[in-house]
Amino acid sequence: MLDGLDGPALAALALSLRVAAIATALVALAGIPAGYLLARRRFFGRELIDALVTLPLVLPPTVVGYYLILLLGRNGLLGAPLYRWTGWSVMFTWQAAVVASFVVALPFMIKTSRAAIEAVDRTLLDASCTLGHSELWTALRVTLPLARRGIFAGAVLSFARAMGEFGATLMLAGNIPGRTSTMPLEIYSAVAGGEWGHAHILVLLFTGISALALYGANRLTRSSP
Amino acid sequence: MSSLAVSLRARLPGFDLDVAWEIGAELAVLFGPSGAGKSLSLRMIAGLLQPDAGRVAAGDHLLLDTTLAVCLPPQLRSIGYVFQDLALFPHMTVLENILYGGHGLEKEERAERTESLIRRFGLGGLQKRRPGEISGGQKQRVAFARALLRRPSVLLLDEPFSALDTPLRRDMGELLREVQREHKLPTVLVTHDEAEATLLADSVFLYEHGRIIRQGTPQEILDF
Repeated sequence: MLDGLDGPALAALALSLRVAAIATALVALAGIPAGYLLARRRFFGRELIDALVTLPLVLPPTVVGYYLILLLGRNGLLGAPLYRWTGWSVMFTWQAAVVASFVVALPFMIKTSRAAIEAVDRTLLDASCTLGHSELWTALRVTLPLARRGIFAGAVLSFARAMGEFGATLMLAGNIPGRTSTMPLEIYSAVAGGEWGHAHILVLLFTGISALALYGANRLTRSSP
Repeated sequence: MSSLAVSLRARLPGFDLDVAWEIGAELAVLFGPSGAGKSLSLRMIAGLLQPDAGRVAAGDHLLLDTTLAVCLPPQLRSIGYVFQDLALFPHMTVLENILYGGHGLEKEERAERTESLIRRFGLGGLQKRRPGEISGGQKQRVAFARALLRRPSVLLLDEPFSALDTPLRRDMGELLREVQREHKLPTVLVTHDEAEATLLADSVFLYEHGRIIRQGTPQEILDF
């Protein structure tokens, strides 16, 4: 069965890990501040924004992919000017897989970090204020450190979701062997082409990595502070 | 000249707060049943809540005046605040908790004052412990030290002893008394414990339903 672990399988694994790692970093960069603002600020349209960023959680990935094509395609809202100025389009590149993974994974980060930040005792933030510290400093020294487990759990979920992204990736990045075929796409191609040995090993690898990530996250979130 | 002058008005669900009082470098107790507006007054003095109208001045330093549209944020009020549950940061050590109160001090002064407060409050040897690993009385003293580190011009305490048993309460009360006299700080203590009020107060303001119904020395107010 190990015959399946050949060049294309390893390439798919490497690509999936790279795409998921970059997407998770971007998700953390955007999602933690967004979760913070949604948790701590009262502003008009707050729940509407929360609903909008959560939408990819419930929409079929093909629908998300469709929107992303409208936005980033060569004739898209952002894609058209980008193509005119640079001659480059994100469509059918590995970066498109990152974009797709980012959009579908972002809600996990925002939801979990918002909940974790809301759970931090309000009195501790008041105490930090009366001790002369600004909101930013309080966020960095008190709020985020105390919410770190929830935030970390959100990052792991995002990573797992990014690894598993299929539908939006297929629509935006296509399924180009060696270039945009991440593991889920590679598994689909293997099964479609009747290469069962190849599919077996990919599925096992994928399941193992996902289980390991979740197990590690559980261990870390349960250990003492 | 250290003093604290307060007048606050606020319309709240259930009752209206309307109080005015002034103290010098003394220990004043806000006494009365829960829900009378005592803690609310402290939060408004510290700037954690805004009254509808009012004025708060520490000495000649104006902290709030709604008629002049002056309202300093809590960060700029230089008020030491000890919360009911003490609000120690659970992820920081005793030393880090105290140092966190030294915002705006020079690094050297901060270290020196921290050292002397640790000695003054008998916290030597506990510097590396977390709040979860020390006793109730020790937590109390960490909260005091943290609130005093940057030499506040006013000290506010919101039922800080409520979690302690009686003998320890008395010790902590005496410690507070000493600290208040050493620093000549206008100090306001919220409590609904009559013995505590009698023991500690220079003056008492008796709160009920958002008003002050009596004020004077503890003997005048509490020994009916």
